[in-house]
Amino acid sequence: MTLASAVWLSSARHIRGVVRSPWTTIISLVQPIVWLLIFGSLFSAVSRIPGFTGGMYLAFLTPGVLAMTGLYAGGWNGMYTIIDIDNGLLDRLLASPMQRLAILLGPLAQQAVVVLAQSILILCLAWVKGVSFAGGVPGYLVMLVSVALLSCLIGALSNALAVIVRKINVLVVAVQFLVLPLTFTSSAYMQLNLAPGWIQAVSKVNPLNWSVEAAREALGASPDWGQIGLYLGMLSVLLGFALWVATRAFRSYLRSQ
Amino acid sequence: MTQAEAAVAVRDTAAARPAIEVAGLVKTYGRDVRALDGLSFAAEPGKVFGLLGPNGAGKSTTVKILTTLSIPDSGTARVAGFDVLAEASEVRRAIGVVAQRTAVDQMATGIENLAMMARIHGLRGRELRTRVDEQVERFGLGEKAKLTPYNYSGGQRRRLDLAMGLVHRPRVLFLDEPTTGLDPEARIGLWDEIRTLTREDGLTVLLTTHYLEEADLLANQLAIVDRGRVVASGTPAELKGELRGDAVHIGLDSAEAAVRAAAQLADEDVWDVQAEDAVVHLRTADGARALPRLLSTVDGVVSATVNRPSLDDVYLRHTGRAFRRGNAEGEAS
Ligand SMILES: Nc1ncnc2c1ncn2[C@@H]1O[C@H](COP(=O)(O)OP(=O)(O)O)[C@@H](O)[C@H]1O
Ligand SMILES: [Mg+2]
Repeated sequence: MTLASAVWLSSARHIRGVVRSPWTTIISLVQPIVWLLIFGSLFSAVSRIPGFTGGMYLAFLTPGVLAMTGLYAGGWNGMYTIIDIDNGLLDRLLASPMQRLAILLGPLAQQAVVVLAQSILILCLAWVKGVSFAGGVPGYLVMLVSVALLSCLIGALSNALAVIVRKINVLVVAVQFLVLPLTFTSSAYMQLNLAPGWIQAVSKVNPLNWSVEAAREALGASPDWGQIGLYLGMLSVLLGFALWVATRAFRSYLRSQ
Repeated sequence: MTQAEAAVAVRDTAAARPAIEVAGLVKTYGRDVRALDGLSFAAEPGKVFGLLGPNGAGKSTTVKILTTLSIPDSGTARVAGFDVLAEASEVRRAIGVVAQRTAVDQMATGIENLAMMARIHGLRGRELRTRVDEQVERFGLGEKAKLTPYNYSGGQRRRLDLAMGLVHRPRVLFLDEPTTGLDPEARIGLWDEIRTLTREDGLTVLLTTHYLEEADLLANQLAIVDRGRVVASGTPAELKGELRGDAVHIGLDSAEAAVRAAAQLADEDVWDVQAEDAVVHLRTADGARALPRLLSTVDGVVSATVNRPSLDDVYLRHTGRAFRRGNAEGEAS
């Protein structure tokens, strides 16, 4: 079996799973919608803060909400691998000719599809609420790509953790532990020139921030494509690293059993 | 040599070679658990090889190493002629695995589960569909095959599991305690199925079990595993043959009577005399004939049984523990 067809088979299996049991996907949509609607109106006064240049706050918030959706989806992604471990399927696949990389990419591909679908729904909602972007189609595409990259890179790490700890509750703690600091050292909710200097410094190495910044830049009236390329490039490199970590984690899984 | 003769010659040399060769496997977990402690055996092709041992003996660990799911600390293992470490991909292509716990995709129908395994092994198109249908038929899944395993009984799920291990026609099939947790009827059905398997295509089966009767019934060759080592091996008949004579159990009215009786009986033509509570166990050449004479020498007899040697006795002899006790220990760990 070629790697390509193995990846396709593995992805199709995971996508079929979420299509047949869509509840997690549906419930995980509630959170971003609440952020968008509640935060969007609660903090609409933000746009009047001196120094805020983001325009309408809801429009400023939209790329942030999408990136947060990708971040959470990625964080929870290891859950699917833990389910596979618990029902013995991971072992079955590891003892079969299916390539390890294909086994790993299955849940990530599923997640990319889910996150893209959710993003499009959220964008429709934002549009209904009067949000529009000067950047047009290229801007939207960059936003979707940056969200997908972020969520896959977090997802790969989540899967690595999953095969090592094999417990859903540890995964939950890890996600909770990670999400808040990543959020508040990014420009997801607030423009960073209004934040303390140390937060601005930390944000430079925060992939959530790269994703949000790439999207905002591309959605603006005159995008700086060099900057966008840099952010997407850094996200891709980090994704490659995360995949490498995950394959190492699979090896340690075999050693431990 | 004609082509047909050459083919036979090739098959014969292939057949001469063990399908599974295990030498000196050691596997430890952490500091204290020595799951395998120098395990060795060889399984002939086209036969059912049974690994019999109580829970915790190291059977599943052995299966995991042989199916490339675990890495041993030391020792070597070859499956279908391939080294499990150096040639893991070749091993994975040659084997079918049915693990101790059922492993099916709960979100996929029976047919989709089977098709996935077939695809992974490179089948496609019409051939794939034929194979999948074959398995559905063979394992009696019928209309259930169109539903997800949520709708199956435990036995049906296990049968799907088994079908997934076989759909690609492996050369070596691993069955780790395939009948544990099945109801008696399903168990007997599965036994029939396993016996049929080896008759076709020279499939080699490695079966682990902690049921003595199952090993006795299914295995052509047997290795008794205890604490990570093989303590005895051979055909079930050979193993039982090692024990000379029949087992006689005489029940008495008290434990003291049993001790007294054991002392008296020791003078007769018997051996392995043991008193356990109010029962005396012993062995003698022809149990049925010896019984009246034995019973007349002791007082307070309430019951008596004579048994042909069983694997129970083999296990007791090689490990010094009754099989059931070994089990209980394993369960506690
Ligand atoms: N992943 C593991 N981590 C730690 N100990 C293990 C692991 N797997 C098995 N063991 C231990 O190794 C021993 C052998 O287990 P196993 O091979 O499952 O026995 P069996 O299949 O014969 O019941 C047992 O003491 C068991 O507790
Ligand atoms: Mg076991």
